[in-house]
Amino acid sequence: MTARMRFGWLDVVVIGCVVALLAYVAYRVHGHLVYHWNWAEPLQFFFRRDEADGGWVPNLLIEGVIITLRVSLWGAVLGMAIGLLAGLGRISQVALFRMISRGYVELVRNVAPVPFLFIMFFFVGNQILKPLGLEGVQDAVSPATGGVLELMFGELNLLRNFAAATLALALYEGAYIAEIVRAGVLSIERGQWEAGDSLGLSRLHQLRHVILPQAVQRITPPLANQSIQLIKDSSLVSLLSIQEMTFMGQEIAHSTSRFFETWIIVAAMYFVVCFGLSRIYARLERRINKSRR
Amino acid sequence: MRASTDADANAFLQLDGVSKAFGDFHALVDVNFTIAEGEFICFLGPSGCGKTTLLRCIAGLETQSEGRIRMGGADISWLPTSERDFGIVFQSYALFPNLTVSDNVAYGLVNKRMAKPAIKARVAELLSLVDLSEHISKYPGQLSGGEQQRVALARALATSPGLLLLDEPLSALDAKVRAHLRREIRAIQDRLGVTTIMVTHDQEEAQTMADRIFVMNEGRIEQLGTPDEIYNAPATPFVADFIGVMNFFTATVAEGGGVVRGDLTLACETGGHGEGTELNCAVRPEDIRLIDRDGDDGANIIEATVDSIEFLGSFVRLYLALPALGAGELRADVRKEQAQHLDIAVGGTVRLRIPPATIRLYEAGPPR
Ligand SMILES: Nc1ncnc2c1ncn2[C@@H]1O[C@H](COP(=O)(O)OP(=O)(O)OP(=O)(O)O)[C@@H](O)[C@H]1O
Ligand SMILES: [Mg+2]
Repeated sequence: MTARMRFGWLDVVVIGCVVALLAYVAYRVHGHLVYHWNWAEPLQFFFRRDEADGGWVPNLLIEGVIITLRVSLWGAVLGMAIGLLAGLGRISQVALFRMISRGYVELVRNVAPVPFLFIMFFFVGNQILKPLGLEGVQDAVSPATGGVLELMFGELNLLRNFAAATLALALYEGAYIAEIVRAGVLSIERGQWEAGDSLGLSRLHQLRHVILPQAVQRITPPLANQSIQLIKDSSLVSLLSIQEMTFMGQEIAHSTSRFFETWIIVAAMYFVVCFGLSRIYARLERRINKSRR
Repeated sequence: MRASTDADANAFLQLDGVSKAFGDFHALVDVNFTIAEGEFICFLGPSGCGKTTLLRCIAGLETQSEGRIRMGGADISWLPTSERDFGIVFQSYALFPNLTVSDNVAYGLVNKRMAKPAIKARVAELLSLVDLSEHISKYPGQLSGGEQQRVALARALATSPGLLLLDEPLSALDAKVRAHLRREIRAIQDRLGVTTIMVTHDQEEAQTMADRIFVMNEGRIEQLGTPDEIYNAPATPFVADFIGVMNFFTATVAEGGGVVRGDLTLACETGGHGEGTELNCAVRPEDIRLIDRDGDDGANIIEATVDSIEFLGSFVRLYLALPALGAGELRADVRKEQAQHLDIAVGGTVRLRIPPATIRLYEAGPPR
């Protein structure tokens, strides 16, 4: 393993190239671009003074993060459910289930995400959620319940929009999760199924008690990975007027004209959230592995 | 050899013309047999001869390409695995790693609509049967190979199946544990009276455990019989060669009986073979008697040179050169005391006798 620690001449060349490139960029920015950095203006969109009592309250950027996390959380929950069903459908003994799941997965994998999301958004919003009458929710529930719902789903008068966008995102991610689930179940040795068959148990029973518990252990790392992917993909719902981080970034960039600074700040926020999450996952994984030994 | 396709009234398990092909490869060829209730059967044969495939066909884990399988009088040829009445121990055990020992054993009982306390009692009973009571809440990964094997056995027995299938259950274990579990498995089988088929490629295992042995070779059953019959009256050169140790040499039927090869003439029962027919002669090393230099003058007395000596515990194996056999050697097993008494040394000559009754003759053609 010492070989990995030593520098070879190739490393020196690579590092030299990187340094030269950085120096060139710095030179261009400094000498030619003549860009006047102004961080103060976009940074004030983290917190603002409340006009009524003068205290600090979250501004657009913080609100955006919260909505991004909200969309991602529900997107992940729904996406896992959809992915589980579609993944199991792909290996079902029923040809119809296999066909439907296959069609769904191939559709998502071969269509660009933006048109897919738009189609799903309008289809789900108009055909499925409208008849459910989500519009009147805020009037139908008590203020306390309304508060809880608001914490979970955001402003209730936008609930239909939120639900449609989240479901569209979940449908997009679900296809990738389905492939992970499928691979996980297929990775379980055939002998496990055969042992269950020999004991006279139904396929569903075996799946629940033997196959899935083992598969879940194996697919947890790729699923964690996919959840980080999902947070990044959630920026797509800004196109569906969900006011999450990217949407807010657009607003701020336009209103302040500080494009460079605003987008660097938004990018950094995505990085913090995603990198933080991946560190948490890594730690959890280590702990689980330790306890399993 | 083809058995009738009618149901045999006494048979518990009956296979009629069962064949299995994987593409062009014939893993099983026209397998016929019947097994009575309560029998302990061993499928014995070299690696790749189709033992596991045959077991899997009986279990329904593989579908036979041809033929029919009956169990308890009913045709189960097309019954799915989960509806067949058997318990199985796989070569790799295939325990459920995410379930505890007791949950593994209880697993088959869950859908029998048994009450929880009844399941618990049954699991405790089974685990004490296989002597594992103290490991009840461990996971399979925390058990030794022998313990895992016993969990697999308890799991297979949990639903009180009519048929127990064991696929080389002992092959992964060390010699001592293996010998112990052999006796244990046979004792459990005797106590429960469950019809059992065990796959093995270890002839000693088959000899010590089975009521009847089915010797398999290249997808066929070469011979079925008691351990005694298989050893003392091997039906084919393959069985003769595979079971125990056997000397083989070719010779032709001599004028007036016996066989001849070069200057070697041996008296033996030639059956219906006509004079001049070339035959395969087989003699077991332990049937060859060494005699004193000036000892009795019976039939089939030969002089041979000792090529090498192998010490095998309580006996020694001599590799003997005979002019008539050319490059072929004759192996003879002698008790240690006798070898000392006769003062046998490499390069010396010995006098030996092959009792005519111990010479077995097979149609010519090399043993497969
Ligand atoms: N699914 C399959 N597809 C193709 N060939 C197979 C399949 N299963 C088994 N075979 C072949 O059939 C033959 C018999 O296999 P089988 O597993 O029954 O052997 P075995 O007697 O149990 O050997 P061993 O003692 O090594 O376990 C082998 O040559 C094997 O390669
Ligand atoms: Mg095998």
